[in-house]
Amino acid sequence: MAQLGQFALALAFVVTMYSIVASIIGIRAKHDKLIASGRNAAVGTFACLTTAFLCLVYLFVVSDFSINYVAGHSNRDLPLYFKISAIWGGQEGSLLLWGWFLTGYAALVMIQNWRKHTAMMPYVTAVLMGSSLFFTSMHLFIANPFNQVVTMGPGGARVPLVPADGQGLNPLLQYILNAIHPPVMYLGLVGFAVPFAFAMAAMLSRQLGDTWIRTTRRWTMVAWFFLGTAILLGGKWAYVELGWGGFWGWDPVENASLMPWLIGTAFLHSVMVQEKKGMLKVWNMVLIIMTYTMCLFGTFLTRSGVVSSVHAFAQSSIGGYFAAFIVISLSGSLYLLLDRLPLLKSENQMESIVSRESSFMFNNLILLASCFAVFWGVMFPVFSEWIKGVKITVGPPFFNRVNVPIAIFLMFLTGVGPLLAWRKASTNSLKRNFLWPAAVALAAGIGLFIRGIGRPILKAPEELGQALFQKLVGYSFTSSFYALLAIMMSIFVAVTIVREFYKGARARSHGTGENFIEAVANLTLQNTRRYGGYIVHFGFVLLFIGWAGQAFTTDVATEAGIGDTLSIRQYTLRVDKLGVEDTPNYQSMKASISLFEDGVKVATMGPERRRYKAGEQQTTTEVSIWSTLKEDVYVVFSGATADGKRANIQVYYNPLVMWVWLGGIVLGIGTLIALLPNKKSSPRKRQQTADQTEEQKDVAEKVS
Amino acid sequence: MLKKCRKAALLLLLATAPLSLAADRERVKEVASSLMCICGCNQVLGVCNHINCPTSGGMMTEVEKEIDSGKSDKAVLDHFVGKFGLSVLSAPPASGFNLTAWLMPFAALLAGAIAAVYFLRRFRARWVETAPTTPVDTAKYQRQIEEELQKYTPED
Repeated sequence: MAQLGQFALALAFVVTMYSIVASIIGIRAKHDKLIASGRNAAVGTFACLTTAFLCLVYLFVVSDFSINYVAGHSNRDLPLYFKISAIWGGQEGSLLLWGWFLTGYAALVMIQNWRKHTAMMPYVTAVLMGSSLFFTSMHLFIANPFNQVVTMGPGGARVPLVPADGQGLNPLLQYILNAIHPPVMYLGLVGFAVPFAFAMAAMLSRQLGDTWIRTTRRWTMVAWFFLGTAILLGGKWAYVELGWGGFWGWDPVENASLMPWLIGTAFLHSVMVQEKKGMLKVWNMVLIIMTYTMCLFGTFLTRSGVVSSVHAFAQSSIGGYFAAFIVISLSGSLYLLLDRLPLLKSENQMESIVSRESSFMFNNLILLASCFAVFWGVMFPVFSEWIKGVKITVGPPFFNRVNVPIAIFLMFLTGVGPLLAWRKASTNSLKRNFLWPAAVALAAGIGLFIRGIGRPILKAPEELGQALFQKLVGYSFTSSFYALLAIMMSIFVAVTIVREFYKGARARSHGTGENFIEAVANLTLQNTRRYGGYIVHFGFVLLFIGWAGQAFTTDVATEAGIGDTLSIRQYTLRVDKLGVEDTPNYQSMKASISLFEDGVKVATMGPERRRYKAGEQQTTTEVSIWSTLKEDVYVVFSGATADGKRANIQVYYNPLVMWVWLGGIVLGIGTLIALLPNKKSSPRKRQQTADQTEEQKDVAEKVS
Repeated sequence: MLKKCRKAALLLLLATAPLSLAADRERVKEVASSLMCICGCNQVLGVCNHINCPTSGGMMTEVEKEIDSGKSDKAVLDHFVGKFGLSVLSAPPASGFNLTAWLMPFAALLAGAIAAVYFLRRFRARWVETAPTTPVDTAKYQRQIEEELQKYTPED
């Protein structure tokens, strides 16, 4: 089976080369058959990589430890689902998964669009296969998952070896959400290759209208959806598996996935201006180039070991190859953009600073600034070491201090932007749209402030420097005050969204006689893009509130024996039992803890500490979480005394965490709705609309 | 009188003692969030609780000891910098070359905002130049809007 996989990889490499060459020569010679052959070859590459991937699945399922990659990332006692997820537990397999997805996307794009965009598609083939060539050569020459385990025999000869058992999968990856997190992440990162390829194809074929944007709108949203979902899954994994009580730690690997998502979000908004107004054409090109580059850069960061991270499970020496690929891809696309600049003229002009077009520009600015802040924070230690030779750390305090104000302003724009009119918003419409949301947010803010949230406002430094700047940066808002601002902004945005639904549904139910719920559903389904977008924004509101709750996290740690209790806020925890469990995969120490809320028992919790038997016998902690809408009680079994009679228990009180996951779900639902085609209005409604149009014509005639 | 004063002072001391202890715990947390655990886990000292961490326990005890000895937060941080180098701080100090770490994101935001406003003004200037010069009878359109609104706005 390994030979078949090896052969499939080699064939994929050759077929990819052929696809690129056939497409380019076909375009130049205007040879339709050659172009079609290039397309078929692209689909063929997918078939080859599918074969290779299935071979690897088989090798993992049967635990063929003669294969180096299988022996390094699996073991006999691993449950079947983790044997399969172990395929992407290391470098070679995750790269193969990436390459496979890329060719899968390419094949789907070919099938979907070949007849619709005949002039552009050969270029799309060439660009997608160009990316694919990089990955197939990596699979074949640099990170081949089918290499055998060898040892040095007599005379220095390399002799095949079959170990009795494998090294096992990193225990931190033995968590179901993390088993699906990497594929979802790759579906997102790879997905941006499609709009990128169409953008390049538009420039190469000089078809610079909005065809490429309309064609790839759904692709972009799908990629964005997967990337966002993967980030949240990663957060959930960190929360449940790493045991430090939080879901986002500004780790370089987390940042690596956030950067393309931030620019991708900017792109997703900015393309609307091009679609509606024919503006920002150059800007959209810049954004998609940056998004794709950031997708590659993120992968480079994760795998190169340039920065250290708690999540980097697949580090190796392939960073250099990725860096070269990024440089080639970025310089090629920027050269093309400069060359086609005269063809990318705007069709319309901006009329007012207070308009939806300009709000999109500011949205882009804020998202880019946020991305830059993250990039700068991630790379600054590297710059510092290069320039000054000094090792420094840029950790969570930096990212929080820089990004939190930016995020709060972004939330403000989320509320304002969608309600501004295209071209120019009048003062009256501003008042009409924003007076109530602002009043409600302010009232809520004052109410919370009176209850103590947001106080103290400022945090003074212990020692102030003499320079004015040091005085300025010395003071900072407290996290509690930032949380108050974040909650106020969230309420502001929520009210604007609810009002939009209410106004639309009320007008609709007056016009059609539908009841309110029907009117909301039909309103949404007949303009999925707009109302799906609002739902996505609402998801963000929930997420933002959940995130603001982190400012009020508290924790206690204690050594406790059976019968001992500890308290945190309104909760009391009592240790009932301490025990040991033995499974084929791991041994664990467990505590059984009763959780009381205001004296009433609400749950039995069972935090564990595990020692995995395979490989290096790693130990992990399995936290136990009691989750409500208001707060999470998060219990960690962090160790035990030598006699096993007392356990070290750490308890976190984390407010509003569930809102983050709920926000993620709402965000996903909103995206799926926005992906749906608009439902056609009912015949009755159509007739009404037609009648109205006739009447409008009459009025227009009378007036003129 | 003296006795009363002593008693009052003692009561005050007793009353404030738990407060100061609580404040110290907060300070330990605060300082621990400004330091990185040096075990290589890449986590802030305050949150590094991974099993068998060889350093976080010792470092936390050291933070507590330093604070108990009456040192200021900055002095405690300086103590750790002296011991492990600048990389033990969880964020770079806002001075010297490291100031650029803090300034650059905001400088970029400012530059971006200036560029955005410049482009907006340029777009507007161009639009004004190319806008039709014949006066528009806005009253006519206003009338039309009012009429249509009256006609189509449903009664509340």
